[in-house]
Amino acid sequence: MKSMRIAIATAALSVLVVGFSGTSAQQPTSPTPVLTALDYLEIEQLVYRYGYALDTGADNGFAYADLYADDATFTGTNQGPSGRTYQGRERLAALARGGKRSPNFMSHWVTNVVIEPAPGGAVGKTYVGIFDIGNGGNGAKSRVDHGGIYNDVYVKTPQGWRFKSRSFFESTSGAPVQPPPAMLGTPRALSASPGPQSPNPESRNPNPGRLAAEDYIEIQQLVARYPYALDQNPDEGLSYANLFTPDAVFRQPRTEGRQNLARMASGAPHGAKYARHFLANHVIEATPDGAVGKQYLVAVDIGESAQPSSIFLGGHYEDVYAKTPEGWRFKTRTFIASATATEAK
Amino acid sequence: MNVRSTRVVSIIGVGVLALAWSAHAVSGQVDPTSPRPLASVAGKPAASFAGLTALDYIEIKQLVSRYAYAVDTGADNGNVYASLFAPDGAFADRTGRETKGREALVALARRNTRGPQSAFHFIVNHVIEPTSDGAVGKEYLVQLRIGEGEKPNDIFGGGHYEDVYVKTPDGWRFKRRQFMPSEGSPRPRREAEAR
Repeated sequence: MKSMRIAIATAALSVLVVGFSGTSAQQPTSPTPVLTALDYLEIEQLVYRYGYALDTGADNGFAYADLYADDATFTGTNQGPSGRTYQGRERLAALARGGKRSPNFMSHWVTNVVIEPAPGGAVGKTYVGIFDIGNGGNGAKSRVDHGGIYNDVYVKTPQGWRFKSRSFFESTSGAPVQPPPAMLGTPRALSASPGPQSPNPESRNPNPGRLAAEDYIEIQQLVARYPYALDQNPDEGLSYANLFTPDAVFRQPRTEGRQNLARMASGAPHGAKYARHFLANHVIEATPDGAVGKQYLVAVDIGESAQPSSIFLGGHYEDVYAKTPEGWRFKTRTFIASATATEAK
Repeated sequence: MNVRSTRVVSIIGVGVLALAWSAHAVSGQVDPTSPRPLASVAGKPAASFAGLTALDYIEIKQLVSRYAYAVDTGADNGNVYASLFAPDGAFADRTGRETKGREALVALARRNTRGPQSAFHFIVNHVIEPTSDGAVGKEYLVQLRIGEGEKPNDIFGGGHYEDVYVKTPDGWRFKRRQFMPSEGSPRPRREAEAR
């Protein structure tokens, strides 16, 4: 019995070590943790809180500072000739204080959140459109002030996921800058190891016509990668084409098969820091064969060199997703431009 | 160690694994003594995901995404919009004036529909928090006029929603949603630094 207790204690200890070693970002050889569905969701919440904290300057800027881990940094690569980095709670809080603004002021519009496990935690990227809305007091029209891409490193602290670093890259369609936002790999099946595991095995519901939490997240991640593959297109359309099944069809123009998809993507404007396709309102529904979904698109031509921004087009995508051995992929994707049937009210 | 005790160990091992695992999964929960809670929706320290499963969280996100389609397209003559609310659910404008109950919400949707192909309500930054009897959340909204005849595309307006969600037998629904327009920009013109 005694040896059994020791065996249990040893087993428990080793499990604990395995369970928590992934949270240490300080080790030079930090292992890549397994991200659960809740890890993805909590990181996403962190990313979404950023806008409120910065735009309202709540708690005298400390709501913003407290989104960061203790030693974390924010870098504005667009500030000054070589960018500027802020570190420490007080400096970060000061960044969020800014000008006097209303608690209702909403500016940092964040979407296309891509998250990946990485040594010591996770990395991610998001698009940000920085709007100026409700400037009525100055008689100015609402507009997109500027925008671009955040490049993030996340770390799991005892208080939850926090930014370890966040860098802003202003959108430009021109030549790549140094350092360019890190490219994420091609999407992979979250269910493959290492991937999220459900704490409750029953939530991995294998019933046809139902999706597990991990399926929803993987489909969200698939869709969130789409704008990067198109706007940044680091590999002549390969990343873009790999978001689709081999026999997939995109409309319009009707484009079938990965080779044609890669060619189509490469014909679209792209650049290492280019942010143009902003997605929102992603609805996902299970079907007997997989899933269908839709989301809104607005393509924003963010003004460069102090030029005004404009809205290139908008509408929505209608998708069919298929679960392949590589993970969830687009089987069909159809864009439908926005058209208003009735006069705006 | 005999077979039986091995089994006991392995069961306990699994239990420990599950425990360690769930601790790993929820270690983002804010310790009540934590000096640095996230700012919450209601200004209280965030309770993180206590009380909400991943699927609850995902279903609430889906509810909010569906809202945009329902209000823009007025699908099913406004009934899809109304069906996103609990039977006693309400939409409130900036002053707090409520449109409450199914019939009134259907009528609201009919008044606001922009056509089956319209994309007008772009909703992002969806923050969700559990409460003792459901969840609350908020999002940013940008309203974009795109494809309206010959007019150039532009921004109509925006702001944020403040939501209360309730889990009904049919799934998560809005118990209350209030829209607060954005106001009080600190920027006289475009000189703000990117953050």
